Amino acid sequence: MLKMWMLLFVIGSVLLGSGSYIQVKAVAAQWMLEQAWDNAMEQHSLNATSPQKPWPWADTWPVAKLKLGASNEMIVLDGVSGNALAFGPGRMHGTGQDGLVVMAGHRDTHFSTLKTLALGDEISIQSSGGVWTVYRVSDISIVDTNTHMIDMSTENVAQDQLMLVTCYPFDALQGGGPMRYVVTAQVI
Amino acid sequence: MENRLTSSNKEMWRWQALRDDIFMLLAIFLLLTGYSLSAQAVESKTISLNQVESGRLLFNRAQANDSSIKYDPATLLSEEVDIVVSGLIVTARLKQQFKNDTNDWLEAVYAFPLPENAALYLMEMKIGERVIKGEIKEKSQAKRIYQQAKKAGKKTSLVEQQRPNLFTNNIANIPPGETVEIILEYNQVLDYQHGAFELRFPLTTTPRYFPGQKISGLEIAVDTNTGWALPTDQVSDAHLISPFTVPSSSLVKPSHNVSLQVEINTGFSVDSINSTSHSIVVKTEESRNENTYKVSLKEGETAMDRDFVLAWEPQAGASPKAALFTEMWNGAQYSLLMVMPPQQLPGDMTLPREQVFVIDTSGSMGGESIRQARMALDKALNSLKPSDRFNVIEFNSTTHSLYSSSVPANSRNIKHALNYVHNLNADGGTEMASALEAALSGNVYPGYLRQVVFITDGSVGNESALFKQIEQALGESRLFTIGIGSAPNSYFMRKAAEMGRGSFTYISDLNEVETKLEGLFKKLSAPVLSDLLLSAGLDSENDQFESYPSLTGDLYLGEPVIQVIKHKVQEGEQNKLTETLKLTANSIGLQHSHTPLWEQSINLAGAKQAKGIATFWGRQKIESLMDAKNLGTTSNEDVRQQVIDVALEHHLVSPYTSLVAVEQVVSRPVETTLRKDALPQLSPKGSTPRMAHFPQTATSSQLYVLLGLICYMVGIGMLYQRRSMISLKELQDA
Repeated sequence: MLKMWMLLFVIGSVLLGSGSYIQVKAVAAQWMLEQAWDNAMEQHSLNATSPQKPWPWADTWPVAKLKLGASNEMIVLDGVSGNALAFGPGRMHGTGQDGLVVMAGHRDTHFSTLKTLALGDEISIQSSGGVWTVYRVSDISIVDTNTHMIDMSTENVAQDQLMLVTCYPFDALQGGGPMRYVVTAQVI
Repeated sequence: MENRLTSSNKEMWRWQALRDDIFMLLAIFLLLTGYSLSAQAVESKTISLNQVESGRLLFNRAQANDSSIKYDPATLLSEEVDIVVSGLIVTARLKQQFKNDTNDWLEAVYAFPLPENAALYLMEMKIGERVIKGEIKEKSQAKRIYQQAKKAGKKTSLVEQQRPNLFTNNIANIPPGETVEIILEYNQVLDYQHGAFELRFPLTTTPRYFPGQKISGLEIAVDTNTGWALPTDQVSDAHLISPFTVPSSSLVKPSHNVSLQVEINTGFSVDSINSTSHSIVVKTEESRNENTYKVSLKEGETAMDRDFVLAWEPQAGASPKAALFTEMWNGAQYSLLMVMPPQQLPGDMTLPREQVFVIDTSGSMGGESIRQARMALDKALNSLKPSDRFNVIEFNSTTHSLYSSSVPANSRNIKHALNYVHNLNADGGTEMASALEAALSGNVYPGYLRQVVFITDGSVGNESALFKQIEQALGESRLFTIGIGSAPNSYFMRKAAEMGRGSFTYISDLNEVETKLEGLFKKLSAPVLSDLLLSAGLDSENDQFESYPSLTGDLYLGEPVIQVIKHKVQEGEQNKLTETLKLTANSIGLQHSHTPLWEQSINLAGAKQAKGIATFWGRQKIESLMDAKNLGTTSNEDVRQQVIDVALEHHLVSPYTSLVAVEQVVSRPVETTLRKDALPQLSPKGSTPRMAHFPQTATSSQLYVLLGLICYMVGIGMLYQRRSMISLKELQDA
């Protein structure tokens, strides 16, 4: 009996710890990223091109600043690997050059606020040059990744688009489900 | 006493333990419900998923039926096509059925392709058993008639030309649940090259690319419902020629299916009728002196997601060398002349060549198309002789040349180029102008014949600007186009080659690459005939007839001379049947002369009667006028008036004339509203827009936290229970 409750406490602590660690990491990393972003903008004005890593061993770096609605600023990282998404939303490789930007974030951390976005809301993105681009939400969809993919071709797109992707449903406890919540916004 | 106390204590502790258990369960319960409640609070938003979003489709990866984004068409489209080939003339009758599948009154807008040289002369609107004939009117007048009828609630239909190979059909006031059928009829001259006939019937288009700056919505009033693109400063009608495309697997209801029949009456026996695009069934009906072949689709009907391509060859020895057909129409005589020049070239005339291969690697080439293009280029590179020079230019949003100028075709350079070609991928825009500039600029390498081989699907919206550029920059170069994919822009292919004094080739299938390129390589060795002239044999007066198309281009191996002629009938001289037509060429291969080196006379007396030649003459005259306008040699207003005159006389749809039909009965009650529905086209088969998997976007942090808390709760509970047991024991012991 003694061992049982102690074991439960240990397991509980590990679970609670790792769960909160993800949450804490998500919040704390953004503070460090802010700094790296400021550096990146500074570097940009100096015409340097080397990516500004937020910490020496990081395998990703800030590429943009994202503002959802009126509040909620966050730093967007390069790539959408699990490593990057733990610290902030990521920008998908191969997007962001022309026509289309795809950003993904965890539904339980940075992109939990996506659910509050409504059609017509504004989303802004700051490039490393400091320029803000404003988009307006034009569509919100839920898609099944078993049957859908992102069309990344840009030649048929009349307007520059931003696509924000997170997992769905928001209240699912476990990660790894097939559904995604996709917010599409058109540049204004 | 002690015992009683003990027992009451025991009961109390039991009660306490139970209470702890209940408390714990309650806590877990609260935790769980709290979670789901907080989640439900934000999930109340309803999202409709039955709409295809503009601009960016989330494509199906599989044809799974439960995918969340589906296209639910308001108008269901089905098409029946009957094509009759008689001699060299193709006459096609299309029945487009538009079924309103909603409870609203509908206005359907459908952009559809036709062959680039189609003369569209008939439109009928069929409602039940009633047929209303369409009239040809000046474009703005036709539009006004349509708008008025639409507003008044009358069923009406308007067919307009947007490009020579792209038309739009507007059908207003389709009642809920009912069907309106539009019947269209066109004719064209059959394509005949290298002794084989080829018939292409387009069923969809590859989405075009529109270069230039978008014109913002405030500056112009356009209806953006009809297309995904906004007008740009280079393509002002982009919104009209950019129909939405949906994969056929995303259609919720059966729509966009076509059934097709072709009847071939050639006048000679035919070998190997086959289709590279569809499975077909061929039936032969033998009669006394000629066979009729009836072709239909094996499956009865098919999705409208690719061009229908049918090819056949005359039996050995039966290849027509010359043919003449004639028609009397409205008091004038029209003739269609086909002459196949000699297929032998003098051996000493092959100049070394400088070949510039231009390959389109824009996004629309994605999938099957880029594979065909790479294979074609591979073959072309391997066919070069060591004495040739070559270069490879790749373009999408930007242009990249493999070499800064052409290099000798030695094995090292070819190997390098093959390697380069194998690594090409399709992505980005179609900025064709810079590629053409790179290919045509600079001087031709001295003593060499420069041939630009342009491999593309031609999916651009700024065709006329490109034609003008080709015409102006061509110089001594020659441009050959190779059309790739399930639904290439045939108008661009044909006209670009015409302006580039080369020829065009279609490759619709990987298996076809080899045979089609062989034909092209033969052509590339040298033009067979140039400086052609058509004259009336008896007297040399030039105004004896008016013939099209112009003969300024070169004629390559395997290509016939096609001329459609209107004979001028002079007073008192009704019978022209004794006239002789003479076709001459002052250049054979690379030999030039001031006197004809080749000559063929054709007597009109031997002409067969055929229908539709006058119509086709009108269509060719309009094309010739439009070319003059594009190249800026004639003023726009002159061209417009001349085109309208020809089009009205020959009842033809043109850039300035449209067909309009109005039912005189008012159908729609004025108080009901009319809903507009722009029909999509199906995405071309085999095209794979660049697609990516959705990233993984959730961790199980909440699950961890919750499980951790549960563990704590259970642990605490156990601890309580344990402590209560201990206390109980202590009490008992005491």
